[in-house]
Amino acid sequence: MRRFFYVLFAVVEKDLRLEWRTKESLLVMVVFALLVLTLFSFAFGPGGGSGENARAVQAGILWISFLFACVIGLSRTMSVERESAGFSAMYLSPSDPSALYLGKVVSVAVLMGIMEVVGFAVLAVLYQANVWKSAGALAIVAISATVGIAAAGTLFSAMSARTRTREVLLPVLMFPVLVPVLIAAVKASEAHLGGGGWADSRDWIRLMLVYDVVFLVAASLVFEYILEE
Amino acid sequence: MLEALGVSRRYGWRWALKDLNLSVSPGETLALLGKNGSGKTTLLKTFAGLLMPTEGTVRVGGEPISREAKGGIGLLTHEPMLYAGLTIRENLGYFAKLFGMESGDISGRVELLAETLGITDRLAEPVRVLSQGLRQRASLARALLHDPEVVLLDEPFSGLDPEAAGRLESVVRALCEHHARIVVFTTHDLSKAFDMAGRIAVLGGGRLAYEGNADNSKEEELLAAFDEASEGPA
Repeated sequence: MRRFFYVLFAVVEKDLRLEWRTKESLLVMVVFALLVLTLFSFAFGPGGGSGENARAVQAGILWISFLFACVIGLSRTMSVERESAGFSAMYLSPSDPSALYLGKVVSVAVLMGIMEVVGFAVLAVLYQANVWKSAGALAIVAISATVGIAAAGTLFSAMSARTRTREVLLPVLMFPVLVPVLIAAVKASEAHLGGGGWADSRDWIRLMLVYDVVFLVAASLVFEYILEE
Repeated sequence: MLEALGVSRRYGWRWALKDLNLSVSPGETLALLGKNGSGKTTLLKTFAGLLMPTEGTVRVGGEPISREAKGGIGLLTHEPMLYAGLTIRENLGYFAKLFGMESGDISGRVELLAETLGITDRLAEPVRVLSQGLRQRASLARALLHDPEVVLLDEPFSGLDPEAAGRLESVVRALCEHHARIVVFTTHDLSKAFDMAGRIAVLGGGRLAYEGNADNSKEEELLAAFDEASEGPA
């Protein structure tokens, strides 16, 4: 088990160090998310529209912007692995492929987490959303959704990384699989942005947690075959 | 012992290797010759466990190749397998961890290899600023980092200046003569093959066209096999 985490942290350290040097993925992700949130704020007005749907619109825009930004970030992250033949190098090692996969998931999740903090702050300012009062609950929703998106995103981006049509293939593979987690994230965020309690979001968060566990376990098991040339 | 037993490998409809039987003993250096597309790189990658044979088996130490066995194999390919944004030291540190080396041992091993390969003063430089020859040396350091029993080198001398080639040559000789490692390298340079290898194998169209000791008296026989092997389609 010690060796498992040793390898996992080695992958995380390498990915974050590379990102710190180049800032290629994070910068693009944050800028893209900001652009989408800003553009929609002009379309729907300062509150994200009026009436009962305002919170639903805010939550929807927020998670759509995160999802698209994540696709861009994942493509960039995996292109680094492709250019360096990093997956082949991983496959040549005796390391547990699950540790390699989970290391990549953690790296992607950390980048998404930073982007999401900025995204929520922008939502609070541009949409006058109720972010600060529900910060704790929204953090739990965001973490649950981020793990699911990172888990699926890492798997599918690794699968598509060696194909010629990877830019097109990644969203085509990833989006349908992420429908449950995206709906749950939007619904749970909507509940907390509207001042609702745990009763309104509990089931959605459970759904995300189950999704996270199932996807992490299943993807860990198949990642070895994806690393093979 | 490194063995390929009836190994075939197919890419789509094309057979890159066909029913290949080859074995290399500890302390032995095997040079793989063959024209482009003859299957040399595919065979090395199959030996390394990077490619699974479509048919047949690769054995290391009498056992089919497994994840654990990969810990005893070092592979140098055309792709340096180094991250351009990281320094040589950071790259080597990362790969050492993937091979399970303890943090305390990594620094010493990196310094030793860097000194042997003449890249000590470049360890702190990002790979992206290195010349092709230096990348090749850094990549070789990556392949030898975990002190593998089996060393597989795909055209290791390409891009190296004479000094670096000389260093590499002495590293390979030391691996075989003093450490009884198995070394397999591919080359297009016949004189290098005769000079460095104990045995030579020629591949043509994915098949073994010639195999024998690296004896200069057999050069004509070998050249004839080389030409014959490269005539037919794969």
